[in-house]
Amino acid sequence: MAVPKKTKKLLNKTSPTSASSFKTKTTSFFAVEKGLNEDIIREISAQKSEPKWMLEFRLKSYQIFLKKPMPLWGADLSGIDFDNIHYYVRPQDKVKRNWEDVPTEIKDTFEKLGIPEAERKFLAGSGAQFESEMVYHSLAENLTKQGVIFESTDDALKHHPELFKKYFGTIIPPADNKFAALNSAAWSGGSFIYIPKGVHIELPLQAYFRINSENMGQFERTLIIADEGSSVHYVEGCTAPTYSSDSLHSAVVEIIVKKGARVQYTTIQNWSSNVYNLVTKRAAAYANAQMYWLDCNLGSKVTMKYPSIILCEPGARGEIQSLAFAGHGQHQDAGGKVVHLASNTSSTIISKSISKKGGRSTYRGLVKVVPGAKNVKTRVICDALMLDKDSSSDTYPVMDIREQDVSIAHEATVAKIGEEELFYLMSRGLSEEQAATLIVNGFASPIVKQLPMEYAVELNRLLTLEMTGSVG
Amino acid sequence: MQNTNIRFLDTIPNEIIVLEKNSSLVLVGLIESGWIGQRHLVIDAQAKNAHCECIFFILGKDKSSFSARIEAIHRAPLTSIKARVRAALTDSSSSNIEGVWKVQHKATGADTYFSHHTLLLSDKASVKTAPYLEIRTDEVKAGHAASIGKVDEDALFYLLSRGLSEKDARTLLVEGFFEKELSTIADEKIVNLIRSSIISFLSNNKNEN
Amino acid sequence: MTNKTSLQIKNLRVAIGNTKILNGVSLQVNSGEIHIIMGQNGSGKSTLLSVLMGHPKYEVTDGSVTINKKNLLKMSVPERAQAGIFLGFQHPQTVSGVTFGNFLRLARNSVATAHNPKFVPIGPAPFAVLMRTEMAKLKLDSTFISRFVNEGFSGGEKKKAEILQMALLEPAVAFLDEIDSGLDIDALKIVATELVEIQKKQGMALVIVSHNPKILDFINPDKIHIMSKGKIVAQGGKEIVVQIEQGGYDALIKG
Repeated sequence: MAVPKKTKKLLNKTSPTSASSFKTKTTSFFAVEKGLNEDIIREISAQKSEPKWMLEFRLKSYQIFLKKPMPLWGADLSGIDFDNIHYYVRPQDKVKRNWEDVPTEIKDTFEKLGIPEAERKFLAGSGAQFESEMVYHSLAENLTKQGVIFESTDDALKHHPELFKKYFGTIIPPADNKFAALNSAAWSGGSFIYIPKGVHIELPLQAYFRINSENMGQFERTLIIADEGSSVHYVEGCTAPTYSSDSLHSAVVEIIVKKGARVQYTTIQNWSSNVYNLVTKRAAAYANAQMYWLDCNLGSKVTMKYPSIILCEPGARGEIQSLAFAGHGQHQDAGGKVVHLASNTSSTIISKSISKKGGRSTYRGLVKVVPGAKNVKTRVICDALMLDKDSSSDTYPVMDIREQDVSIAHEATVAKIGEEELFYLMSRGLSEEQAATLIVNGFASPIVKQLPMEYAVELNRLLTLEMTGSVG
Repeated sequence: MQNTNIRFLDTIPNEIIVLEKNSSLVLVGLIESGWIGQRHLVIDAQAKNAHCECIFFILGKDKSSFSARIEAIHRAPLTSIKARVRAALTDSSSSNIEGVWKVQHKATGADTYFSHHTLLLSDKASVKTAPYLEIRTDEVKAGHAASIGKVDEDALFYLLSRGLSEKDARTLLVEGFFEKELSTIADEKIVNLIRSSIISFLSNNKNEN
Repeated sequence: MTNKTSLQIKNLRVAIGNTKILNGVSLQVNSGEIHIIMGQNGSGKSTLLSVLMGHPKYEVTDGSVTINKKNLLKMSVPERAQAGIFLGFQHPQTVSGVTFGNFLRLARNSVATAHNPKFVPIGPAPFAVLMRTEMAKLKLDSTFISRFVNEGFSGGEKKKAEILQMALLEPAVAFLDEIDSGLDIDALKIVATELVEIQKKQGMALVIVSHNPKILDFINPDKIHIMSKGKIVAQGGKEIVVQIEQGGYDALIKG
């Protein structure tokens, strides 16, 4: 084990209090120098005491990353300087299991962000990532008894090597795209969840992420396996402080939903406005399985994220609901993809996007049906709300259908807040800003109401905050 | 002052159509034979109060391929470009339509719409549709719709239950698929021409679907 | 015009996949008779009607259905219509782009030609006259002739449109699925009265599926059948309905 090194404190001036504009002073034990190269990858792997196959996987992925060009489509990624990023920082030596053992300063951060610490309420267990490492993990006793695994991905590699190796990288191989390759080379942290056959987890499992160092890259890697007939809801909510130079978040999430199982993956993303958030998320759903992505994008400078579902076997069903809010200087490039490989499958994609003060909101989607996949039903609805004349909205859906026995329907609308609605609300005494806020919340509500209650409340609060000063 | 112009096309041309101020253009296309490569049609609403309506009927059979990029650009205020494409594809025919609809920042008051509906009448027909929207102003009414499917089984059963033969029932339904658009075209002659083409397309359809 | 017709259903068993829906239904219906089938939701009433009309999603696993001794189950859907079977749907399908007038005229010509190859198909104008007469009786506006089938029709208008079709197609046995649902009392009176009139004139066998005893205020059935769990569990006259009103369906279902 390497001797922990002290790092210099990487702090900027804090701006007046707002949820994401303060920082916690932390003592990082081991911060790798900036930039990525083979030596750094070896150090990361050694620090984590990984098996040889994982180091080889990382190195191979790094080569793929170097070879692949930047994507020619999508958002403007020219601001990313790959050499100016820290790829790994570990704040302490081992993963904590109990809330009491978590270092105070880290607890403080969570408290300032208003994240509830109590396990007793909604949570069955909670993992929190800080500086690329799972600081805190706690799994309620009954989950462990049922054979449920909920650990950091690093730990799972050590404790459940066969299970891990069987599924890791099978849904999103390193060559999938440049950022998946980057993640495959530099990944650290993330959640590993395994739900055994027939086990249903009623309460949502959650994890928190934070980027807290300047130029911190986050490459968490999540792998969820829901065995036959099981069900789980995983909630990923994140926030980060504001920095003067850019941060890169390039996560990979792979989900396997086996026969008859159900997985819901909810994300509320609220990275600070300098973060590039480039995520690859994909699920494979087998016979009669259900996969549901609920994706809310509020923060970051640029987000490119298209949760995908491959419906591999008959009876599988996929649903993607996406909410995006693009404010000044932001580009939310989101959407979803569904590929129907089997008959009797169905899917729904609902996208609601809002853009204001020059923000740009983009929907990118794909529905694909291969020959022989009969009796397929798909519905796609994209609605965009533009709050002022400087904002932008794009919709790029593609439907690629090679089978006759299908029923595919797609609709999209783009509009601004209706004058009639505004007038009506204002005539009842609301200010224009209040009225607009109500309408925006109403617009987002079909998706927001699907969130667990505390998130719905936080999201409504965040939307309201985004709306202040947005009118006129 | 509006002069409505109806232009009747038998294909999707490689062309840039510039719309003039205070003008109104209707393009009706009856497209029965395919082509190689991708055609590029641009409708450019450069001047104020320019309007264009496109109604394209595609009847695809054998190995015909219909690949086109239709671009609608709103550059000036109070313009409208509305395109509706309806296709019935049988045998091994295929269509690949990209509809790129752009409303620029100064094109306030734009009314813009693109729809692409396809009926697949055989198991080897295929379709790719990509209706894109790029909107840069909030003073806009914009939307698009697309659908792909085969003849509705429930509607078919309903007609069969009233004694129509399977062939007649399917013919009625496919005609009905086009009828809604047809009834919006002002020119009787064109409408009748399209109707009779649809009927002969269907009677030559060797597929049971 | 119908000659004497007899429809015999014997021990009909029907399933969808592994789910059994009809478990041995037997029923005989003859020209001029009015039957009412009642039963709770899920008893199989609508399924029975769909199966008789030949809906592809159901599988007949046992039993027989004959119309004047001919095997109905072997016929395609249009052949059954041509043989004289009519189904008034509970939720009539909307067929966009197809006008009501056009559709009905084609259907009528199709059925009539099947009965008599020398039949001269009716043209649109004379058929419109025919339609308007029948529509007036049902208080259906004549603009419905050029409207798309069932598109934008209210619930009551859809039901009337089904009866209109029955009147114009002159079936031998007409099955009406929940013809009274969605109708207010005035509409119900109009529809029921018209039904009885049509039946008197044409002489068909009428089988009405309902779960609302109100219909008996306007129609006098020859027989009432109660269905439960995919079988007919009781038969009789109006006294059966009195029993249901007093003790619910359970009062009748003995085991």
